[in-house]
Amino acid sequence: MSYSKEYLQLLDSRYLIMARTQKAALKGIEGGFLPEAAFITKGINVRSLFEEPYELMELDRLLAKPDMPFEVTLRLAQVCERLTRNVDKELALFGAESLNALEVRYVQKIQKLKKGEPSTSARPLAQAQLELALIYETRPALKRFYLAEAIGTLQNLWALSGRQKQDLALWVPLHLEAGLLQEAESSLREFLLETPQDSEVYFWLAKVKFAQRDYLEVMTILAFLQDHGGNAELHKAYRFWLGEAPGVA
Amino acid sequence: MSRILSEPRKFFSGVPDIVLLVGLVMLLNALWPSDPGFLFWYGTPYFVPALVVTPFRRPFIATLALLTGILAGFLIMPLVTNSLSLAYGRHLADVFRVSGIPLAFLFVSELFFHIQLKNQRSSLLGRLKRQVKQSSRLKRKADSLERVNRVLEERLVAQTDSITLLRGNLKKLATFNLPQALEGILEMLAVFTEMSAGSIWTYQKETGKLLPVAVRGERVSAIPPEGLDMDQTIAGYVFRNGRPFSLRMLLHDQEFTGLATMDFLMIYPLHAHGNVWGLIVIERLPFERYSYYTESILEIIISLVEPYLSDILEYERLYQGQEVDQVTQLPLVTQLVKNLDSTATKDLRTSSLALIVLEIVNFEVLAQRWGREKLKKLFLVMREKWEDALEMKVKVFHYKEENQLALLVPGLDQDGVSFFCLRLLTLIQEAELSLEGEVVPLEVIVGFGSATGPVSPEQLMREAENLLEFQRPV
Repeated sequence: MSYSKEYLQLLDSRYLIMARTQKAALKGIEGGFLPEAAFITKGINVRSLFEEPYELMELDRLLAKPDMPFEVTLRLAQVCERLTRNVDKELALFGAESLNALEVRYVQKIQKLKKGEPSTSARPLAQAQLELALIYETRPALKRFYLAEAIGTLQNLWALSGRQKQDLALWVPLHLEAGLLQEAESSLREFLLETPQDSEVYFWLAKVKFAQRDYLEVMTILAFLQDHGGNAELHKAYRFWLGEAPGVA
Repeated sequence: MSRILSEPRKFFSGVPDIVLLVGLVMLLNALWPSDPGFLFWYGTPYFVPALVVTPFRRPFIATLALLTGILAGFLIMPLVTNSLSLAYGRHLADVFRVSGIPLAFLFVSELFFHIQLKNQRSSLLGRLKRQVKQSSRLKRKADSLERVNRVLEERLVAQTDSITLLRGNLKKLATFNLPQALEGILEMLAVFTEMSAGSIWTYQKETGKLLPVAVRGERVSAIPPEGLDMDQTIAGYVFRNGRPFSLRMLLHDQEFTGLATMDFLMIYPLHAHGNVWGLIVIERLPFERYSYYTESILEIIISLVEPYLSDILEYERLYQGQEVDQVTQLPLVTQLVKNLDSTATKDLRTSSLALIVLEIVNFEVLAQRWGREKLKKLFLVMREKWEDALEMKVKVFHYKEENQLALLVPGLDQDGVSFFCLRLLTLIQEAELSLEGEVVPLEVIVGFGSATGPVSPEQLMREAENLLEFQRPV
């Protein structure tokens, strides 16, 4: 556990006790025995998961949270994956068990969603399948399997209720991860036939074209987005591609 | 909470209750038909309903109960029993004179009591409502703070490009193992630029081509096995000119026309000792990460790794000098002297340098038990322990005698080197080095010399040897 400078100073000068749990820290603050920093130190992890040496207590605490956002879950899985390669067998076992716990959590979530009504549970199901595929980054066979499952889930949904633009945020990353660039492009082109000026569809197309290494096309799309509603970040990207110095409006 | 706030059951609230109470008294009165209204009783029971109702209900209901009681007892009952007469009226007046005032007092007191009770109750309810509101506000506030805490934690936990992580990754480069360091550089790039494929290339003198020496991720394009041409590829151009390349340059610069890109997104020269030593090649990036940010972070990382890379390559050159010990493969004392010479002329103008000489005093005794070769290999184990535990770059050499090892540590002054030696001895003690499953009882002494500014290698070595001399057992 790394303590903030302020916390250590306060402990050094006025406070004689150190809370062991979040609850105790909160009570200490209420009673005026501890500084507010005590709760921050005990209540939240104030360092990156990747920072070495790894804080096993913190990993364990985060692992116990059932509703972590995917970003944190992915980082946690990456750290656990690294731990499995540790020379210390106990640490490696801890890493493997933690990784397994994360995977089981996702598999159970997927199974539960599969039993739900397709019209409402298909999107969360495809999302969970994509997330699990990304967690399986180092195991290509499993990654491919879950990517294919997620693509199938979205295809079934589209067969049931028609193609939706909101699904592109899942559809394109799934195809990019699976390396199915041609398929992703053709679906986007079909969307563009329906909505030829849609900047969101063009943004996804730029991503696909970048992965296909068609940089001239990327430039063309960015130029189009410059005039047709792309956001400030995309305008900045366009200036970057043009070779303008950063900060030039 | 809802149970507390819900109204209790209301008694004597309506006319039916009052009629029932008064009816009970009338029934009682029916037992004494000769005394309608209980006039012979100086406290007529017809007042009782009003007295019972008053503490619990509003003044209006209490007054209604009083009037109903009076009406029922002193008008309806005499009418029903056919006793309403002048004599009855006089008797009634007598009774009121005697008991009316106390009863009125009682009634008014009860009314006041009731009003006070009601005020207390409403004030209590008001406080309770305020508390409930406050607690609900606090709960909302606590929930918001919890959400904020959570977001803060998620951001901190999931961050991959913090300055502390950069420092941690740089510390890992403080090794003399080149492949490990190159792998570390690629890992750092993967974390900070999110590249999913990248590599480090160097120039091979034998073939005159560029070849990858470290690779991360899945290769994007097919690379000829003999390597990349120096003249026909952009990578070669970057190596020759020391200028970075980013694919966007292809769209508006002419200088790369006719050169093969090999589908590389970015190629940056990697410097050591101020010269281009190799190339960092970014092969695959997410679309959003191909930006000013990635280009600048790449430049920062390259400038930060340069000193580490220079040291590693210098150490590699020492090994390639062939003047190494046959058993340990560590450079010999001649290499140390050469190194001291070059360091003294180059680096000592700006920073300090320390030479530490370690000596195993009981080497001969231990050699009889385990043999000289095995014992010398312990030096390698020692070096591994230091590399793991110390966060400093240490060059290790054999010294003049077989039982001596020299360490060249930059950036330590007189005090720094004393503490460093203490730490070194502690590490050797704690390591409990063993051979054939048995701990080797090493007796180690340390001598050192340090210098800031120009100094001859001989002087440094003499200082260290003098200190060793003092410590040797007579």
